[in-house]
Amino acid sequence: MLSQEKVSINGYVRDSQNGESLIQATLTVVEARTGTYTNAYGFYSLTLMPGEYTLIVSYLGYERETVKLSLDSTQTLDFELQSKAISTETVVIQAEQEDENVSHVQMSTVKLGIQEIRRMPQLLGEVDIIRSIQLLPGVTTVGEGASGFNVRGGNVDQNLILLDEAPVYNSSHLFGFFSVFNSDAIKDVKLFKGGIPAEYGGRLSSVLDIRQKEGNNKKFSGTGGIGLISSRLLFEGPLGSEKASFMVAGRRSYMDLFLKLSSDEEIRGNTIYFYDLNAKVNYRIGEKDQIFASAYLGNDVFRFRNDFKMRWGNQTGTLRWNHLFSEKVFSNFTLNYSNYEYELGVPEDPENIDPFSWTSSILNVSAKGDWGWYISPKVTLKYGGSMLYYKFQPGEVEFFGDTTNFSDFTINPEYALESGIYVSVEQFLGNRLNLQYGLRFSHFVNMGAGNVYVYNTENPESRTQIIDTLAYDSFEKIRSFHGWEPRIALRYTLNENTSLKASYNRTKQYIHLVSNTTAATPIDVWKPSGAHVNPAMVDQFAVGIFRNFRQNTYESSIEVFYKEFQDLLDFKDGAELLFNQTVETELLSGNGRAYGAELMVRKSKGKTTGWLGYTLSRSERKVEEINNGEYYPSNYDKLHDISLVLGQKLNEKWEVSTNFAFMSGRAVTYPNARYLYEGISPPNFDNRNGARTPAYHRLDLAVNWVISPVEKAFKQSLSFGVYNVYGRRNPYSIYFRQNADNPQQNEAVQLSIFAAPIPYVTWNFKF
Amino acid sequence: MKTFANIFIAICMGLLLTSCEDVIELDVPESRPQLVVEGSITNTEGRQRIKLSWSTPYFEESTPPPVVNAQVRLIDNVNRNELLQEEVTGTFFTDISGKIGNSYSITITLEDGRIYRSDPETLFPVTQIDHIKVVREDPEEELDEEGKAGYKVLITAFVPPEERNFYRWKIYVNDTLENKPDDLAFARDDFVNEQVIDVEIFSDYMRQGDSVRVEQMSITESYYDFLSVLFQQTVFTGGLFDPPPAPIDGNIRNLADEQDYALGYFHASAVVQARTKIED
Repeated sequence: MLSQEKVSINGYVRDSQNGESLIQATLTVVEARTGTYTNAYGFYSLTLMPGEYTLIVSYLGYERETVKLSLDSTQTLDFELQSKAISTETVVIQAEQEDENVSHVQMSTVKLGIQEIRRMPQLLGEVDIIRSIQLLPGVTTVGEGASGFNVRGGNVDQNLILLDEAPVYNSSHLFGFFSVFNSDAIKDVKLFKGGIPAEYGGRLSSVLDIRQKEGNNKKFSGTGGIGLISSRLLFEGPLGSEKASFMVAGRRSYMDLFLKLSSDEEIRGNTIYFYDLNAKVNYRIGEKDQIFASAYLGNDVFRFRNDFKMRWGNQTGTLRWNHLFSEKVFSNFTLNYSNYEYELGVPEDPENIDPFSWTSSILNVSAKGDWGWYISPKVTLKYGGSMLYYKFQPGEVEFFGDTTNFSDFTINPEYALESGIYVSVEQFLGNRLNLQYGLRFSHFVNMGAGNVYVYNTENPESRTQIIDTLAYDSFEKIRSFHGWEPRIALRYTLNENTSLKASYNRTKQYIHLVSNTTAATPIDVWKPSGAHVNPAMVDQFAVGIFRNFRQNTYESSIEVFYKEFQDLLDFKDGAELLFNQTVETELLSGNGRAYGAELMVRKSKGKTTGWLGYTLSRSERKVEEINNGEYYPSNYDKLHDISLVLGQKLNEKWEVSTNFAFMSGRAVTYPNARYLYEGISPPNFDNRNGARTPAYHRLDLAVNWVISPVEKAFKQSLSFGVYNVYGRRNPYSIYFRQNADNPQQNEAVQLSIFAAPIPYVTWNFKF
Repeated sequence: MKTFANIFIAICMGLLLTSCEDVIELDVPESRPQLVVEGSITNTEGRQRIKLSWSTPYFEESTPPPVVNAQVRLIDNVNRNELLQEEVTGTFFTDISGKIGNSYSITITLEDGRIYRSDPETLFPVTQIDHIKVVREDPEEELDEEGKAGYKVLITAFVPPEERNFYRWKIYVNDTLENKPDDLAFARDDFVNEQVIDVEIFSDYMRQGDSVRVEQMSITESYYDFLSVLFQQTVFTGGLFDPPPAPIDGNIRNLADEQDYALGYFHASAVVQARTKIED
């Protein structure tokens, strides 16, 4: 008997209408009772004994395709699936394989189809990915205007937000009311809350992986809309042939254009707007190679008369090359650029005594390589490495006036290099057990050129007194760190509809966001680990049970997690973080823990779709200098978090949807006494986060109306809805003050924003 | 188009109006009364005063009760240890004036035997006020019904180069201290490169003929930090980007119990002053 050589098939799975690659589409080989799914670039590879096979390719929201194969040699086979939703914009497409909930080893992960997000009621009609994510179990937010998000008791800086693999350092527009992602340009959103695979590193709590559209390679088309806040337009199409395509999108808010028309001079003098540009091109060079280039540019501009000005924005760029080394080895090489920059100050004006401008930025250039080796249907090996160069520019201050007392100054920039290598194996053991295990090694070096201050910590009158300054040359090591980060996940199948999953991951974070305001501000200062600051680390354990009902119509899961944090940054009471050349003297270091349970029931098929999520959790910090070194709740600790997202398709034209969110009060600090000091009556806060705000709840409604008939080339639809239907006055902040008329009398004040029903209407079109 | 613009502005304003502030009833925790210290030693001739009182529940509308039967001692780094005179209940006086370069602290013994001590405070020298001027904040502004308008006080002073100094200013209008939270005026001179500094202090509404006296004081970095937090916690409240609530740490603690501290501060300062009158 001759032993037969195994053969492989590989290729891409794409959308038949626009050529977009489909991420995590399933391929099932009926006879071999095995299968695989496509990777983040739509690529798959299967290795089998030669023979006759039936291959089923499926993707939720798409017609499944069944092919008979006579496999005798290695071959390439691309598939194009027909979308069920080509007729209307509003049919739910959930970018997920039918039984992924149960059949994948990955837990604590949620995918949101962009169509699903678009259908949900939105604040002022701006389709907002970050706001939508906040409705998922395990994800919370500090408050209404905070566009950042907290995952499983982690701080907002612990989320790795990737736009086409480039990190985004600030995800908000307009002081946190909207996010920077133009939903038209986005194809896929995936959030890892736990069990983070070894290929990701650098943040403790989550990875939000956002992929931009590649652009329709079949025909030229456009999408756009006009809303209350902004208008947007996207063009996409082939470049020459089907081998290449492009996508370019823009969005701009236009409140300011109307401000200029005002008859009131005071209003005319103000400026506030934001804009985004997204662009992407890709080119398939033969069978084995594909290259992509994508870019994002966004800015916010704000000016209050001649008194104050502010500007902030992100720029990212990605160059990517996918290459097939063989039919079993897929590789991806990426070069990234990312810069977040803000400027604030007082404009030059005869009336302003000390006009100045303050600029700050974090710049990041990185290179990475990832390999996927599809050894057999039972074993996949992934490995790779990355290197990130950072330049932190905490502040450059320039004064303009002739009469100014001040001289320009620069807070020492810092430089760092972060590297990581990883290997990860996904393996099937028998029919029931599926394992994913990996190891990441990360290394971080804080380096020159720069000065490091040595403080006189012995002097109780002035701990911030600098007693020595150590100077370092360019690229000279100031301090370095490294660590091993194991990542393990397993799935055990109980039956066709039910599985148990467990995971453990350790992640390290070498850069920290220094901000102690309650709301998300653009004034972000990122601080690298270095002479005075240690990297943070978390160990997360999670177990869960996953079950689908009625032929995968309902997906459900219960997950329990426990996280232990080390070396988290906190701030001294009353810390001054801006204009501070010695910010490290304001920092404290502590530990933390978070634990909880998340329940989710989701329906993705049929006329009624949506989910119900419930989270019961605690998030606590422990810092020696705060609350006598005892555990205390973190700012975003909320015991209960319930969200209900529902959509109902009435007919081909009409669809209604609703969100309901309930969160128990977050931890805040209330005063426990008043006293008199030189006639001032300050509150005494000596128990950080010892009290709770009233609960938060809100109901939103939306109606989507497809105006034009399905066959028409120019399709249009209207979305309208109401945010905060019953006008709940949710606490944004609660603060304390002396009564203006009677300084002896103190009072508590609740500030609520969006405290009334807020209607919106948006017109969308597509051609 | 104009109408449309106005409608749009109305919508935007409407949106702003959807935010609202409500004075609310709230249950706040109540701690046992804590010792509060207000006092200083300065290099000026005349009486130095230390005032002791108790904290009260946050929403209580009353003058805080003074501490009874306490003893206060003033200690310096050159062997002085003096018992202060209690002339009014809870208020202690001495005629000693502080000396530049010395450091001072106080100990307080309460009726129940608890002993508190302040961290030593060094009395640093202070530079002279070179020039003082009071001008209208906005010359166009009309006087209110009492004939008052907004003014700002401008002070020019020489600062020693290559030093790091901390300052505080107190403004007295007709010999009454301006003492609302936003009257707190203090600064550091690290960022100043010239030898002359101009300080601009916004004052309350005043009228012609009012006399204005400014005290310029040297303070320690630790007192500067205390004032910053006091200012932050009483002025920067209610906005979107405010710092979180924080205790205002003073420099006085119970020697026997690390967790027990007094509110307020005992500081040492050199003081110079300047006067002017509102004339225009």
